[in-house]
Amino acid sequence: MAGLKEYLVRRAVTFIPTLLGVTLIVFIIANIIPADPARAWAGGERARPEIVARIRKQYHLDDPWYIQYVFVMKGIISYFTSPTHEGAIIDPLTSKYVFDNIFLRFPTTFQLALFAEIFILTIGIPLGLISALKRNTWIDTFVRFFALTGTSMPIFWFGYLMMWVFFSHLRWTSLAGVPSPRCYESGTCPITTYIPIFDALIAGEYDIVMQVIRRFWLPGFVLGFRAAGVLARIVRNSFLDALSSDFIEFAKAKGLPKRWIWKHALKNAFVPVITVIGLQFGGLLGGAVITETVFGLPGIGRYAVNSINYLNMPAVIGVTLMFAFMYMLVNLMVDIVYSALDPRIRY
Amino acid sequence: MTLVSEEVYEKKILDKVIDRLVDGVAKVIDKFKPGWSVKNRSKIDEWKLMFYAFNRSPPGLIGAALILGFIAIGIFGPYFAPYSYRLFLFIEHEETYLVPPGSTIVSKGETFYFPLGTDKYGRDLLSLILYGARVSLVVSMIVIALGVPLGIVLGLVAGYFGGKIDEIIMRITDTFLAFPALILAIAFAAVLPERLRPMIIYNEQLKTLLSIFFAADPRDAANFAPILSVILAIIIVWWPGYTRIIRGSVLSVRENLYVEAARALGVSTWKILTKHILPNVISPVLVLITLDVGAVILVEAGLSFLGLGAQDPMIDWGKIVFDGAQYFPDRWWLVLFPGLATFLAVLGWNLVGDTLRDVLDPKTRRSIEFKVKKKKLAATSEDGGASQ
Repeated sequence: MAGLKEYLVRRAVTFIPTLLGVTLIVFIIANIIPADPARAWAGGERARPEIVARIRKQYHLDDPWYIQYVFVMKGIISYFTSPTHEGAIIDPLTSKYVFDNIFLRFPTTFQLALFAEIFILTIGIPLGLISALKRNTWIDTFVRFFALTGTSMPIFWFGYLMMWVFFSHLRWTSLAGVPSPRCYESGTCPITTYIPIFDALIAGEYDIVMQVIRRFWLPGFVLGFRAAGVLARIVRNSFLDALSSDFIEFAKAKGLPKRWIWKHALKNAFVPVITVIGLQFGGLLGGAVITETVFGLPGIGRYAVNSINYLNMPAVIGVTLMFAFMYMLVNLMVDIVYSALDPRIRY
Repeated sequence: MTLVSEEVYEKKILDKVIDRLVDGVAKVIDKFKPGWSVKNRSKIDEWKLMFYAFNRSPPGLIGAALILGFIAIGIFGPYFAPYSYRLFLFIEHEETYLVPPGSTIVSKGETFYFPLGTDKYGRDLLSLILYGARVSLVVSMIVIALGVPLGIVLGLVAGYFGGKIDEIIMRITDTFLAFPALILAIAFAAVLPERLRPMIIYNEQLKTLLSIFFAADPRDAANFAPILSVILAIIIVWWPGYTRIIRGSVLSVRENLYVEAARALGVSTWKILTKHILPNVISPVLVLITLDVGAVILVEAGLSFLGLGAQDPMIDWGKIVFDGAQYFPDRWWLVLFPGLATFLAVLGWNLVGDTLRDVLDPKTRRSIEFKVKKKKLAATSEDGGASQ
C-alpha cells in the first residue's frame, strides 16, 4: 500500500494551496464593502466617535488591504495555535472570539447534518437498489418522480409544509430550544464529545436522546429529502452498470452463488456513490443555513445570517471559512475512502 | 424522399407542428445561406427525430408546458397583474390586512377581489407572484447567459492550451469549488449591494434598463442593487462547474485526428476551438444548462428567503415566503402559493432536462424510437401522451 500512502501525502499537500485560496476569496468578500462597518458595530448613528475610532484601529480598517489580510490571517491562525487565543479575531458585536461563537453553535449544525445524512443513506440506498432490481416497474418510476420532486422543491417551502403537518397537526416534533444532556451542568459526563446526542447516549440519559431526536428528525428529513432522491437514482444507475459489466457475467458463468455476485456488484457500484455523497455534502451545508432559519435552530448558518444583517464581517469570514473547511475535509475523506475501495485510482 | 422518422413514427399533431417549425427555420436560414437545408438534410432530420422522441415523453411535455407557462408569466405577468406591487392597500383600507384567498373586500365604496389573498401591507398576492415571476426569470436567464459562457470559455482555454494557463485556471476553479455553492453565494450577496448601489443610482441608463427588466418602478432603484448582487453572486459560484466539465471533455477531444489536421492546415486557434472542439463537447452541457436554470431559480429564492435579494417594496418568490413565514400556519397562503410557484417552475426545467438527457443521448433515443415502432407493429392503438 505504498501507493496509497504517497497518494494521501500528495492529496494533503494540494489541500493547503486550496485552503489559502479559500482564505483569499473570503478576504476579498470582506473587503468589497466600502461602507464603514465600524459605525454599525459601535451601535449605529449615535455611536461615540472615539469608540468608532478605536474599532477602526482595532480591525485595521484604515490600513491597506495586505495589512488587513495579514491581520485577518493572524487572527485565524492564532486562535488555533495559541492556547490563550491571544490576538485571535473577535466578533465586534458579541466581543467574543469569532471561533468561540462558531464552535458554540457547531454541535447544532453537526446534529442537523447527521440526521440529514442518516435520512439520505437510509432512504436513498435501499430505494436505489430496489428500483434497480425492479427496473421499469412502478417502483422505478416512483423513484424517478421522487428524485425530480426532491430537486425541484424549495427547501424552505418544504420545511414549512412539513412543519404544518408534523408540528401543527400531529405534534410529532418540537420546535423550541436545543436539548443538551444534564451531565453538562453537573460535569459528570464520562466522555465529552460536545455533541449532545452522543454525550447523552454515553451518559445513559436516554430521555435527552429522545428529545434530541424529537427536535432534529424533521429538520434533518427536510434537509436530506432533496439529496435522498438523487442518491437513489445514482445508486440505481451505478448498480445497473455494475450488474451488466463483464466481471459479473464471468462470475455468473463460473456459477458463483447469487449472494457473491451481489457482493461484487455492490462493491463496484459504491465507488461512484461515495463521490456523490461527498459532493452532496456541499449542498447539505448550504441547505443547512435555510433549514436552521426555518426551524429556528441556533446553528452556524443562523449565526451567519444574523451576522450579515449587521455587516459583521469577521463573523462572515469565520463562518464561510468554517463551511469551506468542513466541505473540503469531507471531500478529502471521500477521496481516501474512494482510493481504498478502488485500487486503480491513484492520481 | 421520405424521412427515416416517418417510417418509425405515426405523426401526431405536435409532430406536425414541429415539422412546420423546423422547416420554417430551415427556410429562413436558406434565405441567408442558399443551399443550407440541402447540405444539412441529415442534421434537420436528426433534429426532427429528437423532437419526435421528446413529444413521446409525457413528463417532458408537462415540463415544456410548465416552462412555457413560467416564461410567459415572467414576461407578461407584471402587465396583467391586477394591482401594482407598490400598491399598499392597507394604508387606506384597513380591511385588506392579510385577507384569505378568494375573498372580496368592500371598503370605502371600493370593491377589491383577491383570488389568492393579501399580505400584511394589503398587497394582492396574485400580483406579487406575477411580479416575482419576472424577477426569477430575469435572474435565472442572466445568470445562465453570463455564467455559462464564462465557464465554457475558461474550460476551452484551459483544456486546449494546457500547461501554465491550465494550471492557473484550474487552481482558481478548484478554489471556488471548495466552497459549498450556497454559502459562497450568501457571502457575496451579503457584501455586494453596498458597492453596487451607488453605481445604479447614479447611472440613469442602467436604472431604466433594470426597471424594465424587473418590471419595477424606477423609484425603487436603490433596491435593484441587492437583486443585482444576487445575480453576480450566483454567477460567481456557477461558472466553475462548467469550466471543470468542459476542460475534461476538451482534454480528450483535442487529441483527435481531425483537430490535429485542422492545426496542420493552419486553421486559426479560435476557429479550431469554436468549430471543431466546441460542438463535440457541448451536448452534455446542454442538459446541464436546462437543469441549472431550475437550480438557479431555487438558489435565488433561497437567498431572498434569507433576507438577501429583493428588499421592500421589491418582491420575489423567496421574499414573499420570508415575509409571510411569521404568520404561518394561520395565514398559510403567503407560504403555500409562492412556494408552489417556485416548485412548479423548477420542476418544469428539471422534467425537460431529464427528458432531454434521454433524447440527446443517441443510445437511449434509439430505445425510445424502438419502443414506439414496436407498439405500432403490435397494432395497439394506444399511444402514450402524444397529444397534450
